Amino acid sequence: MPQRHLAILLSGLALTSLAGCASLVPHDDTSVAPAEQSQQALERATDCCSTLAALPYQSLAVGESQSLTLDTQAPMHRFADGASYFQAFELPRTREPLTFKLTSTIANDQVFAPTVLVLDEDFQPTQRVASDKFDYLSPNGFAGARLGATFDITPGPDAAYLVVYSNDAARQGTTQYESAEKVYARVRGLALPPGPDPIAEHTATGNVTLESEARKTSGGLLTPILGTRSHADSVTADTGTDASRSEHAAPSSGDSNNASAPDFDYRRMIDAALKADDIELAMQLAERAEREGNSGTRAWLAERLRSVSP
Amino acid sequence: MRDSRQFTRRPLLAALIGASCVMPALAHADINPNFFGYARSGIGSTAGGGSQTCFKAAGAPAKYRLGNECETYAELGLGANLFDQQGTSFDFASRVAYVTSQANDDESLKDDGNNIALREMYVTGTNAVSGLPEGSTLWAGKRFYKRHDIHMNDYYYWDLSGPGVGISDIDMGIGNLSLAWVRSSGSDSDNLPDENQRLSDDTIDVRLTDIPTNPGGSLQLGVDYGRASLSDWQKDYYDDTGVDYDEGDKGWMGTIEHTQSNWFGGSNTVALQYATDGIITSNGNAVGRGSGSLEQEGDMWRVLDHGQVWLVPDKLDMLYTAIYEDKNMDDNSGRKWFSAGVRPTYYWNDIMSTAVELGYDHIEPQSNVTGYDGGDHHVTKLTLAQQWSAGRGAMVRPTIRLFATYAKWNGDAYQDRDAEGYRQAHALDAGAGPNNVDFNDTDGLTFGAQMEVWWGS
Repeated sequence: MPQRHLAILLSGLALTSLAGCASLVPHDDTSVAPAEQSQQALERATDCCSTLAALPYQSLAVGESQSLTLDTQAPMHRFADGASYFQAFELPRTREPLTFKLTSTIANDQVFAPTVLVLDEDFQPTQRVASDKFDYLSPNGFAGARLGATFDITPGPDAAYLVVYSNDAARQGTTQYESAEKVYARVRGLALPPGPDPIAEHTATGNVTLESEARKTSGGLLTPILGTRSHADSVTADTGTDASRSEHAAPSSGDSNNASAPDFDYRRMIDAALKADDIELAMQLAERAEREGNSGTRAWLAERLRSVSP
Repeated sequence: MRDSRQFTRRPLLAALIGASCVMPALAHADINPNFFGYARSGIGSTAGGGSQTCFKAAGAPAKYRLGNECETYAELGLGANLFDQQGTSFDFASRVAYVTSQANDDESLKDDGNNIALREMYVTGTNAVSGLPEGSTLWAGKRFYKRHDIHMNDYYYWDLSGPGVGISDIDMGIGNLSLAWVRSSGSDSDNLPDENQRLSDDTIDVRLTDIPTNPGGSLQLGVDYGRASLSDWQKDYYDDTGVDYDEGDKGWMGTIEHTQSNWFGGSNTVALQYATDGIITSNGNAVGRGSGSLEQEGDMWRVLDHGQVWLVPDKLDMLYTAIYEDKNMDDNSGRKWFSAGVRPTYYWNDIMSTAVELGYDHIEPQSNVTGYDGGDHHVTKLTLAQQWSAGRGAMVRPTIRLFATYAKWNGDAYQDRDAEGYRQAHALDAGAGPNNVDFNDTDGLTFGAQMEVWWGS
């Protein structure tokens, strides 16, 4: 066996060893501040803004996964339901229905329990995904334990801005979770690691990822009728900033996410809407029809409106 | 509230949409299947020519696996929660395992070396037995039963898998008690006139787990008793033919294991095992159930330690293991086995890492071993692998890795071919995959690529 092969392998080992010359120290994700420390920092932090209108809004990158900085360097605001670090976004003005997926990962027995607030164009809260609407998702070989929710928003006058934050009530809670080792053991039929499942504190800071994409499936058909809604029924109407009034979601009357309506007869639907004197809906349907390739529907509706007008 | 309010304002539309969308939703069965599994596959070559050789010390029950697996192996599992009311739940799980020699595209699972096997088919009933503490689980069917393994060398040191019945995780206050009856039938084609008359090897497993000992640490104790369950006519037959099955078909094994979590960011497990006679597995790595032998007498000690630590948080972790096993058989067919290995992995970023695995196996046979080098022999293996994974951590998958493995051993690799033309083990096991180093080589180099994945929740 040529000795140079061994030399290459040993060089690799040496390089790797050099990279890791360090004493044994407990594993600690340095990007996550201890819970108490981040809570104290939050209490000391200065409110960035006097009103919701003054929050620093970033434009939303649709179709991308954004890692939200929710550490002690993030802006802080005293919301109606408590102070919190936050990230705020201006929704695109395309009025294209969007699906959002918000994930908050559990690290070092800590997790940021998010609340999502949707504001209208006058910066008034209109909808909310409360922190208890986020489901616990166990590790699965591709991702660690995390909290997650998926919800739909159609940007418009009632949904112009989105804020991700946490509140006092959420930070009183905890989430019990399974370690990746435990799930691996269950999947492989191994003896489960001993001991109780760890408990994550809900903390003032954390690692949150926001993904958004345009809803392109025909299931989006229901969106103009249903308004914004959550896949998990988690977007609820919010007439004020009091969280306690918006904890209960309406049961869904149909799963728009999975609905499919091939060759849907838009013109018949629009006729029905006109008969019900719902011109707003008729227009929304026409827009939707145009987007799905039924060109001429808008002009056809205009013609219909002219013919029914006095 | 917004949703329902809008619907009531538009009854006609609600009806229209309802007609088009609600029916499919109702067609969904109220079962959420759980798809889970594990798989590995790849390609490799041996320097000098030929497909990938896998280096395993002859007589050792395991080999260090990084860059040293020559087969495609997969487990596909399907399960479902079937009932969950008032604290009682019933769950079903099944698993089929596949193995092929990874030789070409269309590999029949009936060919030599390939296999498809039904590994699990069982139901658990959690809190199904009233009067028992919360969490007690009744189960029946064939399953992987609380297997204890070392990932680095794919070594299972306590494995009662098979068809069975049991009740597990009864909270006794000091720990959780689990009781099981499992079967591992053998056959005695040499002696029994009818090969279909199997030897039913039954094992009773009693274990007390999750006994808290120190912060983050817990102990578990286990006893397995196994024996061949012979029918009267089988006993008569062996009595007539002079086969002494009084001791050799029975055996017991005791296990004491301590697991420490919060151990440098990972965990450490140390185990001590003692086993006697018929429960010792002479080859392979499953131990703790009846072996199917009628005349196997002797005893075995084993001590092992394994775990994972983070040497530099989020940058460098390491798997490690050390095993010492002494099988002292009355017919001198046993051996001592010492094994040690480390696998440090450096994470360049969330996706790419470099892993190095250094493993050593030493075999010291008793005087009467057959089929491989009767003298002391050892294999040292070093693998360098560049990996792309879905995150950081020794058990994070999927992983795609490129590897190169250098192995060195003492003495000839193989013995001359047997009557059927197959190479025989000498320092190296001849059954661990293609054997593409020469008979008298004392080292070898292989390289290739492999993927490894597990999924499920």
